[in-house]
Amino acid sequence: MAKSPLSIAVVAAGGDRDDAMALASLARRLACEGGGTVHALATGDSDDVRGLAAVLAGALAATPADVVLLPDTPDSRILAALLAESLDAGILTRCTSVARSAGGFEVACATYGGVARAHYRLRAGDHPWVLAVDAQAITGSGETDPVPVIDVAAPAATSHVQVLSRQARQPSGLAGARVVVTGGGGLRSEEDYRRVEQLAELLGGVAGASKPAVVRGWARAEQKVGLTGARVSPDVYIALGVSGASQHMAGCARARVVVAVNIDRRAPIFAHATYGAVADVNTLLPVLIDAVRNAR
Amino acid sequence: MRIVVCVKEVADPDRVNELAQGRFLRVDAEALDLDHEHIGAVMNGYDEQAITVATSLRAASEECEVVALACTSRPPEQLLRRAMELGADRSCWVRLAAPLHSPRSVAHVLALGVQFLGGADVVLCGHQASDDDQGVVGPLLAAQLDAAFAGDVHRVEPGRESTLLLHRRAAEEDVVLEAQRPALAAIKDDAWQPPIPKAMHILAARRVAPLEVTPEQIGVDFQRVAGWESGVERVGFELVESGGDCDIVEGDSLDDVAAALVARLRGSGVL
Ligand SMILES: Cc1cc2nc3c(=O)[nH]c(=O)nc-3n(C[C@H](O)[C@H](O)[C@H](O)COP(=O)(O)OP(=O)(O)OC[C@H]3O[C@@H](n4cnc5c(N)ncnc54)[C@H](O)[C@@H]3O)c2cc1C
Ligand SMILES: Nc1ncnc2c1ncn2[C@@H]1O[C@H](COP(=O)(O)O)[C@@H](O)[C@H]1O
Repeated sequence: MAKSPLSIAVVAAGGDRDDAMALASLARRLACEGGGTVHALATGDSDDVRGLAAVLAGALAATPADVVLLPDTPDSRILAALLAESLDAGILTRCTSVARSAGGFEVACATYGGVARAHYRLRAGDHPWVLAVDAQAITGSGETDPVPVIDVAAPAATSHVQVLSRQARQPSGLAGARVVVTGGGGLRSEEDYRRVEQLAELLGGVAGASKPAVVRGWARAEQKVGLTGARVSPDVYIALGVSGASQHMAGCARARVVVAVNIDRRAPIFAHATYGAVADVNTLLPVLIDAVRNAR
Repeated sequence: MRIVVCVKEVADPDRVNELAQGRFLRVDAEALDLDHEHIGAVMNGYDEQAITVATSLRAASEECEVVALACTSRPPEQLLRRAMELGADRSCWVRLAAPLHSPRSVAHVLALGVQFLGGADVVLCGHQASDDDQGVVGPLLAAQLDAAFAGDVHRVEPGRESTLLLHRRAAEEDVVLEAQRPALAAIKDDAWQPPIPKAMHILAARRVAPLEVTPEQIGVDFQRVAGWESGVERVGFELVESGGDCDIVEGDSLDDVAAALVARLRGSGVL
């Protein structure tokens, strides 16, 4: 049964543009199986996210799509939900693969922070689907001929919310860092976390944190790596006293090399690590810092 | 003022991670989900945060009640008792005949639940529920209630006239938004610590039973729900295998281990 042509729209909002355009190859694959079309809608950022969804829904009404793809980032996930409501569409996020099947789509999604994967059959035809897809999980042919981009003006007047104040925070530095050194729950004190920062600096990298290091006040929330923190893809990710919980690994799964130091040989982090050491990180750190300093 | 906090019960994520560590996680092939046998159920972490945001807003306002709202097919006594222990004034359970799989159905039922309770000035949801991590019911509900919406909110306080100030921690900046009522905030506070439940709240949790309502009572559109539910079907569930063999460096002393790590780091091009 030849597949009917599909119209696919990719939404690239504000800072998520690169992640969105990485979905172009997926959009082409889904559309071309049935001779369909692909176009992208690009907007700026807006604090009035309902207003942003309204202007995008307006643009989508002009060029209706069977599937709307957004990157699975915190901001685009919210936009995807708002768009699904405006378009009376189905919604699914955390998607790691999307394929066409008889009558609709087969989609896989990460669940429980990435510990498991659920597979769904989505029925297409009577209403569109909005899917938030993890751009990093989509391996497709890198180069595809460029997708036509329609620029949609972000809403001028914010009808729903007014910005009273805005204060930039010191950026984490994690985005684009080639080396990340992360301190976790295995550290014993704030002083131990200061050593993590020292090691990061010596290696020309940036200090990261897992949730306990933030909750204990040793690291700023920006430094948290993971499912609800920063997603990093450094050359080397050094995890010190980090168990390797799925919600944390969701933020560093793209590291080329993972180095783990953990007192427990069975810690899940070792299943993700390229190399590491079974040791007490709090006593090893000062010795490792000296060794690195002398090796430079 | 009425603040409605939407609360959901999830598998205890710390327990899931513990079982994952020991490779004890099992799949329930019939439910197409984790086998919940050795995993307790708890209130979703971000929903606990939402209740404490609600009680702080109540403390800064006059004439204000906090209502916890759950929509589930399984009796949520434990969930709603936890909401009361954290300071909710009362709770409401929309009793479903069967679980809902489409988040649009859930948002539809919650929106009608809010209306049944007499409407809300503020609705709070968690950033995401830690079972499927979808993070969509908040914005879906905001759109259905035509409420102002902000995500990543860690604090809400009363504004000048009857507006609300939503403190949002965006990716690289802290933003304070002023919103008209009704407003819906998705709550996320990375530095949150669980409060010590107050005795009077623990007592109230024992005394005050949840208000139980049926989908019919609150006016659920069963035809629309049937449409949403028939559009999505879970057909598979598996654990993600993460097996790599890690080269563990050895050493008799910390100096040896450090030297071995430095050599490997040099090999990785970091030194
Ligand atoms: C919805 C949701 C979202 C989440 N998002 C995130 C997120 O974005 N980022 C994140 O990090 N977490 C997140 N979490 C929390 C996550 O589930 C884990 O609880 C957390 O990552 C655990 O951090 P940890 O491994 O550093 O600490 P712990 O779980 O405390 O583990 C400490 C590790 O250190 C080892 N250790 C102990 N002592 C020593 C020592 N002396 N020397 C060496 N090793 C030692 C232990 O063997 C253990 O492996 C989230 C959870 C939920 C439910
Ligand atoms: N069945 C439900 N009952 C009440 N609240 C819910 C329900 N499902 C989701 N929510 C709310 O929506 C938030 C996000 O859920 P989700 O979109 O599933 O990640 C949760 O943290 C809850 O606040």
